[in-house]
Amino acid sequence: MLKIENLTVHFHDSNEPALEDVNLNFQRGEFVCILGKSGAGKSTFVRCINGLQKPTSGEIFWNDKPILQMKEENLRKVRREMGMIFQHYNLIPRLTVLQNVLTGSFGYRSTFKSLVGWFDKEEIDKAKKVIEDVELTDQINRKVEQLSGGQKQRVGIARAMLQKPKMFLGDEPVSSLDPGTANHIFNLIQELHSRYQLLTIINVHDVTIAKRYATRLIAFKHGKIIFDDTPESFEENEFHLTYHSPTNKIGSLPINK
Amino acid sequence: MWFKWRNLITILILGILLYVSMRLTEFNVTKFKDFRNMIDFLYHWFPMDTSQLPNMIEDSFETLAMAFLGSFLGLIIALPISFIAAKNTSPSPFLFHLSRVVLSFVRSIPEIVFGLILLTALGLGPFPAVLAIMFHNIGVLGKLVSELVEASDPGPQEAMKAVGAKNWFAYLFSILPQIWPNVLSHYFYRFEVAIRTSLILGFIGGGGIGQRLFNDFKTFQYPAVSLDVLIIMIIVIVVDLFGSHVRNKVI
Repeated sequence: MLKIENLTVHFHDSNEPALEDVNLNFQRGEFVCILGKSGAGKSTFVRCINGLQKPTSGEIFWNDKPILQMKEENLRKVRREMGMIFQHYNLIPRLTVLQNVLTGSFGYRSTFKSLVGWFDKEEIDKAKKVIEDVELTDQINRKVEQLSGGQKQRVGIARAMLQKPKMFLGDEPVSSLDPGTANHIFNLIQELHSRYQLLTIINVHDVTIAKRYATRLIAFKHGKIIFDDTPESFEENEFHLTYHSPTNKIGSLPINK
Repeated sequence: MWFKWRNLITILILGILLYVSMRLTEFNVTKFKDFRNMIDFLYHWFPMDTSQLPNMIEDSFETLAMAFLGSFLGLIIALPISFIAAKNTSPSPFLFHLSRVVLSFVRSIPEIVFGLILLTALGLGPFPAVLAIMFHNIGVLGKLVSELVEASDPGPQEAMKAVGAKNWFAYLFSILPQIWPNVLSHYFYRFEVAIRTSLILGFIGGGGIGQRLFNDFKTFQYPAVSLDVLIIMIIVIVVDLFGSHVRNKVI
């Protein structure tokens, strides 16, 4: 369903590549969690998949179609099949829950209709349905900045659901939430994931969460894949490989610079 | 511990600047010994002459209309330009720099110069004044709004791209709701300024209560002048109150 070939990303301000020669293959129905320290390249990887980040070289195939050479128009069609959830929710402030969720359909609608905010009853019903799925019906007309973090992320999920996605992409969607809420959000994602048979790829900080929900774990380090297997085989040793490096001793940090 | 030689030098430089500025502007408090003249002069302002009140009120509405139309048309034209003149939403570097240059050029020309130039083509009256206010406000609001656009949170923009919305549409839809209260706030301030500007433009024949004030003054009708001034004060205060009311509603 999704195939990554020789993906490499260089940032201008760094000598080391953020991603180096990454090759991966994903099937429908997989729930993939990506682990790694900050700066290991996991966020860059997720953002490359829907083209928010342009790689330096390599290719990404979505249902066998290469997406990196695509024209804007076709890229938009791919993007709307990938529902993305962000760490900081990225909702549009000052708009209500319903209005924010409705923006999820902007990939399908004519520009003029979206601009004047003309939605027919069918579209609004669809939005109300996904809002019900994320249990926010009682908040539907509240402005999003009045919601709690967990509620905001559920709005984000509802917006992604309105895209009728074939895939969920998450860029640390629970890193700003407390553990209880984080579990709740992951339960919700998992439920939608299996109900619609999606492919889900999510970055996580929390190894426990990743092991609980994922069907496949991938760990990045210095832009390279160091682990790609079932969650059960990610144990003590793999944990240390992913999160610790021998050179990273506190005493050697240049503190008094 | 608080004392630094640098502070002393700063104070010294400020002192020199103050002295030079006073010399250049002939600033001299002792000149106030002739303040009786002023009292005498103001004495002639009262009692107010209310015989022209209906005409004055009519002219006031003309002034309000000039200020509103000029600043509002300025805002409407400035909005799309400000997206081109903002680094994060500009379609191309060339258009970015071009619109920046055009905006600062328009901004650097005072309304009165626009007014004087337009008068020669359009004749006396409020119409050239409206255009003068409009041009200047395109420059000012274009710059202010483009700075708001640049300071807006990029997250929602990214989300709009991710749902497959068109790029320019993503900018518009994710940025406008964020900056709207600040745009309104800038607009009302510019509206207030435009009222004062339209008074000045009245002096060069732009019409409105400004022109009436100028004419009354030049024909020594001081009792009418005092009423003109009172009306102008009321207008400015009312617009200020109205502006803060609307801002509170939106925010």
